[in-house]
Amino acid sequence: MGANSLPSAESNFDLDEQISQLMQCKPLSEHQVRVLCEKAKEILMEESNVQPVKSPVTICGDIHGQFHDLAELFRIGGKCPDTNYLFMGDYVDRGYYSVETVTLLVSLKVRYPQRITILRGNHESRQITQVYGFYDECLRKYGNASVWKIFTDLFDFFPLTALVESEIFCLHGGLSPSIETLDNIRNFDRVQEVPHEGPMCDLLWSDPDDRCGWGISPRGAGYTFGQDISEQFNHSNKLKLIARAHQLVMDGFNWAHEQKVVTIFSAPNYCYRCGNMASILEVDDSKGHTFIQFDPAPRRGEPDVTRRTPDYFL
Amino acid sequence: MGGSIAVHVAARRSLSTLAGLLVVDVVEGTAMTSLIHMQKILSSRMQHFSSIEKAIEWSVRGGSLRNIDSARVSIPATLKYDDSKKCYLYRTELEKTEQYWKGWYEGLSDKFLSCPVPKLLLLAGTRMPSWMCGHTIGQMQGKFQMAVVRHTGHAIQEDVPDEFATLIVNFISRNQIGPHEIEIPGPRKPAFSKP
Repeated sequence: MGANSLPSAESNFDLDEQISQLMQCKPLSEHQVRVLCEKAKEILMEESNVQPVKSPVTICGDIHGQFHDLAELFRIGGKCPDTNYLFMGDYVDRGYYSVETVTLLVSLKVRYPQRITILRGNHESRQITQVYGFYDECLRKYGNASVWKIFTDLFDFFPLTALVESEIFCLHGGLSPSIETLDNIRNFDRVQEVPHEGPMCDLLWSDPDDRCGWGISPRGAGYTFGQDISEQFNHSNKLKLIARAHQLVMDGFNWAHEQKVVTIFSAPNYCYRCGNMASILEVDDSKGHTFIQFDPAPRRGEPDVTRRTPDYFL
Repeated sequence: MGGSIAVHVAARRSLSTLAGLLVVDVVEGTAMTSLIHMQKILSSRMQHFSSIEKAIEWSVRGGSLRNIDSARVSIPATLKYDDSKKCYLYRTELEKTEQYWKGWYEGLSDKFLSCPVPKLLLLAGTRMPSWMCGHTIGQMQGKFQMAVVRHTGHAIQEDVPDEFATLIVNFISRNQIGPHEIEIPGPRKPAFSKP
């Protein structure tokens, strides 16, 4: 890489100022978002579909726009870049602060590209975000859909999976009957909208199951996979653990398949009403695992979101 | 209340042939919070119609339907002619069923989630924020499919019948419902949205 590709002191200063603003839950301007996402795209396009990550690293699950709970996560897990982070997708939708949440994580990625890894979740999608809140939030906060378009175009560049110290396979959803090896994942073109079916869809949508074999996912996309499937996948790829997110678990983490698959969920009191704990997984440089559970950040007045008069439904 | 009937029947597990459960825009949370408004909503409906055509017209202009073609099919069966008043009235006096409303919806979420068959919940996208109305915990645990249909009111099957049919065909196909997993002819079309 030439000298021109090195981040300049000036752009780092701008970024630090923007990160400081975002930490106060104040959105960037549309122009700032556009410039930020162009830089992020340049970084992300160089990352692998199976992005290598070194320990120590703290692995995080869904955030879903719960900005203040993300701030709580950083308070508990440590600030980036002092702590290395791996986020497994679903930064947007449902919560009230998807804009601030995803902008902060992308800013941290641009500022400290080696210290934070941000994967794609099933909600990092044009189709899903038009239904579950991010699109409407962008309209509300920017007056038009440009920022929504900027981000959803950027989402196509997010890596799909990560591999921590060649042992821990991390992704948002789960396995796919079309994927037997990590090379299968490395070889396909991820820069596209999340398809409705196929291996890329499965990685973002599948769930582990108590029943063996592959099952039809109740979600309507992806598959369920049993212990026999994850054992075979782990063995074929010399893995010790699959860490994934995607499912609400009341304790913030949940082991499956005899501690070979773990679900991590990092949005406490999900949707401001589920009453669940959140957690993050610390992997130290000796590869020890520690779950840290946390409660929601103290609530402040939630923004007013329009509710229509209830429909007739008797 | 059709959704409530479907859920209660499915939860009883008395239908051995039951292959799937599809609920249209009925969720315990929003239903329960809406009940206090329901008498007001019912009383604000137009009550008397000089003709069936007038009733159909009102259902689309001032009522809850959006598709005149569908209303022409569905509205006539909801009316009866009153000889003494010389006009059409609603066949069912919903106001008089108030004592049962709570029983229709209380515990519906748990019953829905307990049904062992594949489940699809359709929500009308015009009620904002619709994604807050679902069985949030069950959905995020991956226990059922949810589809939010935009540009439709409560009667999704009436307002957007083509899209509704596509969702059903995809649900049947994906869950391999039918004798001997018969292939449904024609290309699979993506549903508008997935949870």
